[in-house]
Amino acid sequence: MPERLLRRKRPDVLPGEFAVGEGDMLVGVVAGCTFHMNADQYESLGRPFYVLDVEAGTPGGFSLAAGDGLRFVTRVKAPRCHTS
Amino acid sequence: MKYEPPGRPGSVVDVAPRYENFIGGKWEAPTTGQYSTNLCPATAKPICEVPKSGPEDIELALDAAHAAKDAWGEASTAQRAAVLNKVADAIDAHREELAVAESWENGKPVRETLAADIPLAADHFRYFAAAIRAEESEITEIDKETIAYHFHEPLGVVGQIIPFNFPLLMAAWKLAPALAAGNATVIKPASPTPWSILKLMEVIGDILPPGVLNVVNGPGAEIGKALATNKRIAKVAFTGETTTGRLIMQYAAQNIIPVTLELGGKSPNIFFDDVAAKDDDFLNKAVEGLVLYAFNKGEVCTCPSRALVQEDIYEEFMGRCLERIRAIKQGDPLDTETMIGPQVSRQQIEKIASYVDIGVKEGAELLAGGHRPTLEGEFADGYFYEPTVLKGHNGMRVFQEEIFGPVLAVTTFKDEAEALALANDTLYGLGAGVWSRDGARAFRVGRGIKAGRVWTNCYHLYPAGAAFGGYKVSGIGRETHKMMLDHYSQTKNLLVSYSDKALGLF
Repeated sequence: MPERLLRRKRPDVLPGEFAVGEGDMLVGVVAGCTFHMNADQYESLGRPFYVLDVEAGTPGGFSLAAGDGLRFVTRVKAPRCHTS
Repeated sequence: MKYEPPGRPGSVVDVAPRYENFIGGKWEAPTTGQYSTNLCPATAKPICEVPKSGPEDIELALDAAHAAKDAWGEASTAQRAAVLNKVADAIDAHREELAVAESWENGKPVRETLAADIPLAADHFRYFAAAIRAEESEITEIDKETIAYHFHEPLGVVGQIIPFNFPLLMAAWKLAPALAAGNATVIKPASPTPWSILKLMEVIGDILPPGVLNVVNGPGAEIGKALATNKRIAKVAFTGETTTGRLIMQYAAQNIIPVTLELGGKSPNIFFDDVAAKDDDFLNKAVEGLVLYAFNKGEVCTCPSRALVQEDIYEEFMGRCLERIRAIKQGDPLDTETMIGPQVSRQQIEKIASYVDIGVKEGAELLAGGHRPTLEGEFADGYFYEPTVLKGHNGMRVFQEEIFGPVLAVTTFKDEAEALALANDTLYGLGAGVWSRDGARAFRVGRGIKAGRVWTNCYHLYPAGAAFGGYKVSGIGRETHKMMLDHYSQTKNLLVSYSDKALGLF
């Protein structure tokens, strides 16, 4: 879903696999992989901090595994500011 | 009554310790030699092992499909329809077995699979058997001696990626039109629900010519990608989350093939004040209409997860709804009294819990649920989550993002204009519900909602014959209608001159 665009997927998809567009915002770079999400959503959520984590479990959909029996998850830390 | 779990003495479903891919009409071990354990979400215990296939297995399935496609595509529509009708009959004849298998693997209550998933799957094959028989080629008389013939031709071999929420019905939605139109297919089931479709293959595998239908299980990132990017498919169909849908479109762009996508939703369910004008059957139906957010534990792309209730009836109407929600029986999916089973996976309950937490932190008021229930015995470790209701405003994340669980976000509106504005304030446009005793108002609002399906004074009906698909980022294409045949066909135009006269230009 666009509001979570690449927030979950980007670290799960090999670099260069997912073509990003002008509506996708670069939020950070993790181990050489860029980390994007929908720009409008990023603003409306108050520019939150995201923590990329690894936990036990099987990845869903087209997500890559983070290792055998491990998957990526993102957690929201706290908004930097409240818009809207 | 309670059905015995698959594999136990007295169960209507047999379970082998290990299953294989279904390729070319045979059970084939994955070339990887690897298998994964398929868990039952109600108990978190293994059901069986299924292949953890690799890209090589997709190639084998495509070999089989390509070997079968010409004969199947050239078979008369009468022959293809006869096969589809036999498939439908076989599904009906194994209704209980398939319903119990799907229920145990997915967690959905068996009352739903018995009454909806399986009978609807059979009906879809019958509908498309009928539709393909009735389909006609078209002729345009350009002038007296020049005729344009338009023939429908199959695409060839298609790739179809099935979601976990209705493993058999969503497979039927995709298979029936593809096969009716004369295509061969390679199917990739969802990773959490790889097995029930293999049980379906046990039931219908012999009816179809070998290679027309092939099933390969494995990780989406590897074999889903290997299928969607493959130069040997002529079309890809996908149902699932929107980000993955965008990836599928990008894959399809590499080979310039069409895609149909059925993606996420955050469907509004609007209740105008006149629903509470009388305490009658209609009010009772409307209350159930709101509670239908818990249908299939909310794991439905059209889950009516945003209830918009007119403010002057909110207290009374919501009071009735909450009473009905508190009466939902949760537990063993194989008990016909159970109304809500476990979520499909541990990841899903964690995602739900995280969203409920986000909602509460955003200031939403928790009106019901909000916790994992405590269940006894063999269901103690199951992936259960209580039917939950959050009251808030449409700007909150729990009103904007698809949770895919039994979580209802409810808010109020003043008038028709505000109801419509709230309904359309979403990225999505898959489903919507409108409830009113005023037919003119219901019609007006229904036409105003930017969604592909607006249930009016009903919800969660999925009959073949009513087109289903998304506006906005909810997808492309319309399933469950004969127009889906166009999405699985090429148009061949023969432009024929019956005149002997030259153009006279050269």
